[in-house]
Amino acid sequence: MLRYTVKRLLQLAVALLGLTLLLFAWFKALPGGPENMLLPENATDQQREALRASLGLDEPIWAQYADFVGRAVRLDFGSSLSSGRPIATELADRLPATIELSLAAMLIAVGLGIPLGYLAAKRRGTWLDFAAVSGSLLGTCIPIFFLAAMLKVVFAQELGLLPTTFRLSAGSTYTEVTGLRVFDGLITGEFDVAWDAVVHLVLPAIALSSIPLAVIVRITRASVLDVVGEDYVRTADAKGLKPSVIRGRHVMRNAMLPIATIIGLLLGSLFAGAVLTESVFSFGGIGSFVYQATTERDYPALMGFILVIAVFYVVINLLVDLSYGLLDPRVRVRS
Amino acid sequence: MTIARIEKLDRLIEASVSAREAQTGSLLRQSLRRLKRSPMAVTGGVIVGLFVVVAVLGPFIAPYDPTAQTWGKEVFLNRNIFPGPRAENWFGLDHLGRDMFSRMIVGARQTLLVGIVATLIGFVAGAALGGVAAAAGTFGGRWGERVEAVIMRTVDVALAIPMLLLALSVAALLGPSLSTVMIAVGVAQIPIFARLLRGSMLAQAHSDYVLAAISLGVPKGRIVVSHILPNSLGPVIVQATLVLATAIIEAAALSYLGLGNPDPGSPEWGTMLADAQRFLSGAPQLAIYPAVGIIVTALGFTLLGEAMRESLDPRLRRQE
Amino acid sequence: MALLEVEDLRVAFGNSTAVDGVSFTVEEGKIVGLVGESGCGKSVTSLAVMGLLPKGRGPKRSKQPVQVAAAEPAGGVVKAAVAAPQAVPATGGRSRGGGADVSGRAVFDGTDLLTLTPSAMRRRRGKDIAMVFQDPLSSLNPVVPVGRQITEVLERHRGLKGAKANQEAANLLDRVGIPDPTRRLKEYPHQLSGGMRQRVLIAIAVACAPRLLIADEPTTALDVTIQAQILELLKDLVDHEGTALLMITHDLGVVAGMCDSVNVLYSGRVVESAPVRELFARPTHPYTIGLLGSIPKLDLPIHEPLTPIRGSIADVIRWRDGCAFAPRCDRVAEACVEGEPALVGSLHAHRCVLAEEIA
Repeated sequence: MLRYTVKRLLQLAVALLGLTLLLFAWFKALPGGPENMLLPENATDQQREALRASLGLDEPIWAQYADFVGRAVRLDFGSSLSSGRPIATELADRLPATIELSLAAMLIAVGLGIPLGYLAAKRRGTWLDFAAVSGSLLGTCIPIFFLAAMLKVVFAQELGLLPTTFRLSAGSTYTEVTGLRVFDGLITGEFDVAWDAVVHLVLPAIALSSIPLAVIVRITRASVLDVVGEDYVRTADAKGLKPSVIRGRHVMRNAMLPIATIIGLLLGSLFAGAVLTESVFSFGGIGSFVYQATTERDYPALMGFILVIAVFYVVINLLVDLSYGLLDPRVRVRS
Repeated sequence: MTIARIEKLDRLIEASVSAREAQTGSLLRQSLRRLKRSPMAVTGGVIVGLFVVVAVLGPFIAPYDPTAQTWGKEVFLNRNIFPGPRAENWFGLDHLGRDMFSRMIVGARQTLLVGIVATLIGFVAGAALGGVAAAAGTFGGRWGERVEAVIMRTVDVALAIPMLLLALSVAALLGPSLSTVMIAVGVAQIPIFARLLRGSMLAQAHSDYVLAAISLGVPKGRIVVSHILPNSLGPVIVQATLVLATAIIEAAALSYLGLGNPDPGSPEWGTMLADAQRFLSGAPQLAIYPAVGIIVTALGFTLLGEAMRESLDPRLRRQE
Repeated sequence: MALLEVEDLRVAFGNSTAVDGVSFTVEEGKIVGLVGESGCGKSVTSLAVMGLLPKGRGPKRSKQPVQVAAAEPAGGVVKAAVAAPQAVPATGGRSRGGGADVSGRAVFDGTDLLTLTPSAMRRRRGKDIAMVFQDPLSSLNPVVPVGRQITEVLERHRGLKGAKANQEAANLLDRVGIPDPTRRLKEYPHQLSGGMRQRVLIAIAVACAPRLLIADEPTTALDVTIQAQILELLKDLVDHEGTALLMITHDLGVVAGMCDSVNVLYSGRVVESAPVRELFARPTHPYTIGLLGSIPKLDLPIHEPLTPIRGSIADVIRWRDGCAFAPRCDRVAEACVEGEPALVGSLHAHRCVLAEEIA
């Protein structure tokens, strides 16, 4: 297991290095070069020269790259063009909101998707199976920002059941601990805050969960169908075990292997989906920030975001791979 | 043995064997037959067919010029209220007083174009990378292996960036326009196609018939081009069908993020949907028409792709 | 009275019949062989008795099962209401599509197993009747330690838990000849050798001292040297515990070495059934003769060719049209395709209209 972990960590390092290379190339290729983005349009030539010198753009390309990586490691992405604040600070302030939203969406997707996929597999060929499969096909075909906007119009604006925007109601006081407000509310005893945060989470989380939910339903169904036909399930049946034991210990424990992999991959793409959802609900997470950065062509901010998200993505997949080792003894021992 | 007995035996065997024979035939023909029987494939095929017909005929069958604006008391931009469906405008008018029905019909073409061009970019570039990597790694000796390693590590890194972000960064390079959307979505698909074709080709490269061809002394280039490649394309084509759906949805998302066509004069569903978000509470129909168009079309391509995948995959076939 | 009495067992998957009226008995403490090529229905028979076949939707048309009484005149044509072509059945009953329609009787210790509710059957499976499967690797759950896979059956049927169950599991492993059992309990199937995996499966099967053990080709997936050890182990367990064993195999060598009596299956029906010595001494059905002829013998001259049965099990005709083996039979005659051949005889029964001539 240790060797496996070390090997995966090395792969992670290589992947991150490659990522900085790609990002650096991207940054250099931006229209007009970085100085155009960091300066107002009416900047003088002297200002440009000064900036080029201060950014080290006169240095040889490898030195620039080294500098780029050095700054990235120190989380120094420069300042946002639109707010003027350091990008790292902006991201750090907003990350908890996105993490909270993504976790909530994943909770919905996993909590609903696995049982639904299991039922669909068990009742293959029934209307339930048909509904689950066609629903999940449809789920991947709805543009997420449209779904979010429709949910907002119907449930928040027309029916008034849920709040339209933000993470908490206006004027509520809140003690920040981790930034995950539901969690914070629970541990500080501010249960009204926790509940308020939950209420604000519902619609964005549902919208964001649509694609992972659809994917999890399908992968669970396929995986369960695969496992149910395996000889060891027949052995379990031949032992006369109770159906609940067969389901839990023999079917699901094996069916979880591909599901776990997919969940890891989905978590990464959730951050990207959050960009669209958060902007609809003014959720104040990293996604809203990126929406703003994109519409205002705030390139340094975009770059910081991409780097952070990619690191997240790679790290999550590493964790999933390692947890895979826990789920599957064959991986654990082979390495 | 009497002749009569032999004949009877033959007839009896024939009767019991004919059922089995009906199940054999060429792999491609089998797949096609299964496709025709699959309700998924038929539904998807009908949707895609309709979409393509509308896309081709669009400008000729649209009742109005999709860019002509009808100003006047009918369109109250400041109050977010626009005429809904009525006899002369089946889908009503949009915020600039343009006929929505005509815009939907004409917009199908652009939407299909965005999907196809984006998919083609991903397909061609990805297949080239994956194909070169597989061929070099298999037959190129030590240098070939290095080439393969470099290509595939780069692809792995690109895969680590969520698709929308990859598209975002490309769009940032090119500035907002419809071609930006196509290129951005297409580029974001390159790693998937590269991985897929390489995997598929490697599987073929280790198969017995390739081994046989090598031992017969067939030139390696010819093995790759005329044996490995054609046999590896199946999964890639399936993926292309599925990517067409994704491309149409992602293109809408990029339009929503303001990276699409800055001048929404010529209609395209993604741009129309993104534009309509502003009027969602007052005139949801403006969003719903293009949204339904996108959803149904994407569903059509998805159904078709999934059905094709099932008909090609012997493992899934066994489950059905 | 026999421990297990299978009577006119029929199993159909949709329109294809895998088992077409099989009858046999297993006496208390005896070893009975069920022999035939792959696809002849022997595995499906055992799965039907165990109640392990996926449930079917029931017969499509109302039909009366074709009665094949032993007294049926040899040339009599039976007009079957079932239009069931004798197609190749799914091997081992692993058909993923529609389930199996099972009819007939499988009386175990006075109860017809086929009429039991699923939960009543579950209480017996693993306790009164247990089964050892063919492929030990795929038959063990890869992500659960083997110890747990043994204790779960002890927990279910003998109420043993925790340390007691572990102790008993170790005893079982010891009894099936696995050294260092307490350490092995914590290991996963992939860490064991093929022979050890099969021993684990046997330990699971005998955990509750069943009265009937069904072994479905228990040695096919193993090396030859291991095969002998596993067979020895099975025979030893049966001898000591008085367990009856239904041995399903395609290997007549295994039958000769282990069984008390044999049933030869062809295309879903018993074609010959006899005590083992009698069968080897006086094989009557051409199929049995063919099976015996295709075994290499040490006492034959080296260059004597083996005599394989020509064709494959796919070359069959429907039993109601004649003898399903006729297309492959060297002695086939006009009478063979004049309708259904009946099973004749009791102690040594055969289903061949030409039996008199052959004998």
